[in-house]
Amino acid sequence: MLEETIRTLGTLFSPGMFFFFFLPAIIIGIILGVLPGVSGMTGMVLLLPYISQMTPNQAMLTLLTLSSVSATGGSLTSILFGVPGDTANAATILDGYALSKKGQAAYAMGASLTTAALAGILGALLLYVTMPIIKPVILSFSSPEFFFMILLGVSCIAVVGASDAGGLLRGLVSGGAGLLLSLVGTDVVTGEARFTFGSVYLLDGIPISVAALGVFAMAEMIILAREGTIVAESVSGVTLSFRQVFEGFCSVFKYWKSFLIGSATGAVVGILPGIGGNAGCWVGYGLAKQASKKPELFGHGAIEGVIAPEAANHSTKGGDLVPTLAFGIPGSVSMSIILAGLTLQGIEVGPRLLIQHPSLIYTMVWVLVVGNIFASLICLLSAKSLAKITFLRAALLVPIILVLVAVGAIGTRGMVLDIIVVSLFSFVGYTMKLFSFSRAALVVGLILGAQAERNLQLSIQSFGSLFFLRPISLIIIALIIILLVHTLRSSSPDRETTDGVEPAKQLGRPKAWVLSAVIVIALISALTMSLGYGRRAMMVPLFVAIPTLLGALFILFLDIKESKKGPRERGEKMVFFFYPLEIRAILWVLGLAVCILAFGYIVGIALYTFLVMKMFFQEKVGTSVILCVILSVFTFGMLKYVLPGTMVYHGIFEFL
Amino acid sequence: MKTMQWTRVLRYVIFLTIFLTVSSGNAQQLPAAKFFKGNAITFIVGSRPGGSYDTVGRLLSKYIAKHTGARVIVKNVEGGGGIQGGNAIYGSKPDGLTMGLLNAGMMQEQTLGGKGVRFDLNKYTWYGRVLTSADCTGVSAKSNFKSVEDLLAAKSFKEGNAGAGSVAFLKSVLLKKALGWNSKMVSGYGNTSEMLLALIRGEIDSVATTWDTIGPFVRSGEVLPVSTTSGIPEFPKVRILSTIPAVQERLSPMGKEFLNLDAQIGIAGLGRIVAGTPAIPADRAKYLEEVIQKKVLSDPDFVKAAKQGNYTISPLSGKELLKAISVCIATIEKYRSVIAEGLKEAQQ
Repeated sequence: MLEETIRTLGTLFSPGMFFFFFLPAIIIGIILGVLPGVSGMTGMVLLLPYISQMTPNQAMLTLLTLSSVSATGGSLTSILFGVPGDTANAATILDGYALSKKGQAAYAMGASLTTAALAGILGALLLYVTMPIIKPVILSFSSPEFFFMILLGVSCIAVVGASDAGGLLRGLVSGGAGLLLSLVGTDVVTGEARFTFGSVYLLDGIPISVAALGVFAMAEMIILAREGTIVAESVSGVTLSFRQVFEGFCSVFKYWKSFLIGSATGAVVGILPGIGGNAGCWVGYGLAKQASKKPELFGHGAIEGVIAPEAANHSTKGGDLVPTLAFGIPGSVSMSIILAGLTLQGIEVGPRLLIQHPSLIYTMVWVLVVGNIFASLICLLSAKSLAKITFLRAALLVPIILVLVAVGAIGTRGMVLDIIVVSLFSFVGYTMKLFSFSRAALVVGLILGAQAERNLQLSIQSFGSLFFLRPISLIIIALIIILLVHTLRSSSPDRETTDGVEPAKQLGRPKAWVLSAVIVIALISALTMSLGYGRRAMMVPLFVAIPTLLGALFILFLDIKESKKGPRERGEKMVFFFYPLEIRAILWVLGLAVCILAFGYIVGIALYTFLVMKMFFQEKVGTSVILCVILSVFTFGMLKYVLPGTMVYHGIFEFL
Repeated sequence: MKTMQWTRVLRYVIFLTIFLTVSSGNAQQLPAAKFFKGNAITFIVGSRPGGSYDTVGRLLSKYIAKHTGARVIVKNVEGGGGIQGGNAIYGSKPDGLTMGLLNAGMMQEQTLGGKGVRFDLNKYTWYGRVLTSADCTGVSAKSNFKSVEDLLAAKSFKEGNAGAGSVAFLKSVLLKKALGWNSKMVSGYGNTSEMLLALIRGEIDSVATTWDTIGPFVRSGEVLPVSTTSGIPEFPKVRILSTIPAVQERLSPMGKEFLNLDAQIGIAGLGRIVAGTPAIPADRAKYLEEVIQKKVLSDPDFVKAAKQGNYTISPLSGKELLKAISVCIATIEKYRSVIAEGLKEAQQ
């Protein structure tokens, strides 16, 4: 065995393998991870036609490297711009971006990249050690256990969104709204369409990655556009140096508990097929916050809030491989592509995969170890330079990020209507942030809701209504109760929410209750619609909508009471509850969708870039034209070479 | 002098215009083989990357590219259990440059009025069937159920499937109606792999799926195959459902027709079917069908790859395939109320 291990390592570092497969896969994986909405999976799909020309080890190495290092790239944009490179990197935004705003992007990146390398090694060790014994463990988890594991993730909504009693409640209401949004579409059990309003587009639900891009990325761009500043607001006296990067590196060892909690969470989520890899980062974040000595710092630049979710992300990859190898059953979509690649190689994928091709496991282990180390090293060497991006002025940064997000949204499913979704959610995200509702909780609900319902329905069908009486389920229920009680106890007044950096009361919003009222009306509508569905289809929507509505009503009551305390006008006349500059910023950001819908992807993006730079940011014509050309060429290149399967939309030109 | 220059320019413009018009006309009149060579074909797969349809689609596209000289780009159009993919192929430009894999579930969706259906299966340009994979009902090797007779005699047993709207769901409904066995549907699994895992750990008692998915688990000894509607070449001992005496005793004429329908619209029967946009120029349609049916399906490398993926090469021309589809649609229409009732019962 040792001989085989060393031999595989030698093969990995042979010049041909290293320079023609491994290193290019690392670099491409990082770049794809950095592009919002595009991930390593895109690269894997692009490579599939060429897989049959590779040996099994080359194919496995290339595909797995792309998959495992893209999260490393994705963390960079989460930290630098508040833009999740992939949905799994969204949790890193809460504290990573907060650190960026304080001019500590290099510190955050140092921590995140070190975590990536170490968690990758842990994930590989886990794979190596557990393979011989893991089958019975996986088989002891059934749909009830998956349901409660997801519920544990859902209860992390409370942790993620909690601060004072009001914050906990807003966090729960946001999470409830996210859960309801996850139920939009066709019910997988009954086939009934729910909350689709007759739209064919909504039959497959709200695309999670697109919504996450809108809620986080585009909402942050509205803020940047509104403020017209740079990402790193408080920059006086801050020097970007490798010293910051090194401090980030050391912080992983200092906060080893958060690292271990995140890694363990990610590994468990990865090992158990049926939970979904995106949940790991949020559960890891929530548990690390609970275990931290200073939970109040989470959401405001706590380095543990970067370490835990990134550890979860990277250890998930090792965990994902376990059911894939043990049963030939893919633990995630990335794994199913890897298995498809092996099938195209002529390898039978199934429970006997490892018996017939034992060398594959050694390749996988080394890829996870070495791939993540190399990816982190490459990014660490560029961390200081990358951190300088946070000092770019908004006039340059906003159009670039908006275009990246738009291309990512379009490329996710190739549907032009996704640009409307990302824009709508940007408005939702901005408003939520303004009024202290937790965006993170909304996204967690959106990610976990449909999975939770599916496993609940399977549990009831297979085990009856007493499905929760299984031993492992009872243990997980106990964990959930402990988590919620601890959260309630540790919540105290006068703390800002994890997500809301600028609570509405500080900006003087006399009509802040209007948003709460809108939420209440939406929930009542959802409740009414649910009553019209079949018995099985209405069960979960009702179960979620009723307590969420009660919470929203209480928040509405509190907000109305708050508004009666007296006006705190800032001196500017408000339109509804937005200031004029905000409305301008919102409209200009939403204008990207209008341009794309009217004129198509490439012309729309070109036109928008020029107009926003010239008319909104008042930039010079020359600068506007240069950026316009760069972004148009980028869009063209992405649609032609990286996302060739996307049907290019030409707007009104399709009718000419 | 100036007038002469302008006249010369005008002459060039007129010449260029005529040339371009004639050239573009000529491009449209190119023989089919020349038209496709070097051109880009979009091959649409109505499911996510990595699934079994996607794998077959990529395998096919590789060999279509080899035998036409075209550049074939696979595009995954997920949604609606293949409906979005079907819509995408149906609505594309009828120039022969778009094709894709369709699935049997679309017959149910079209006939029973599924939401979002914008296609008519009778109007596609059919290139025929390429592969089939035998269907198989399996139980866990550790289960107390060892045969069809055990399932028939059971007071109740749990049968897993993906959910209403899937082909597997319709198959389960048809089998229940045909055999009258006491299967209780456990619906909502994301894919067949999840169902097989659930079967192995004892959460459900049986799964009906295709050999390409269940085969590896049968070979590893974790799943026991109990029946098939069409026959499994690799495992000839697996009994064909309609030949089992205990089944024959229970089959009504409607039941026989349902088993036949099931065998046809499988999963097993229809298999992997390829179509292009409606109203493609006849010569291009004929060319592509010949490439697929004759060249791709007899390519030794393709045959080897298909066999390793547990598929059977099962050529069927576009014309024959359309006949089979029409028969299936007619049967579904005939028993529309029975099927709808079965679907409704299963959803309660």
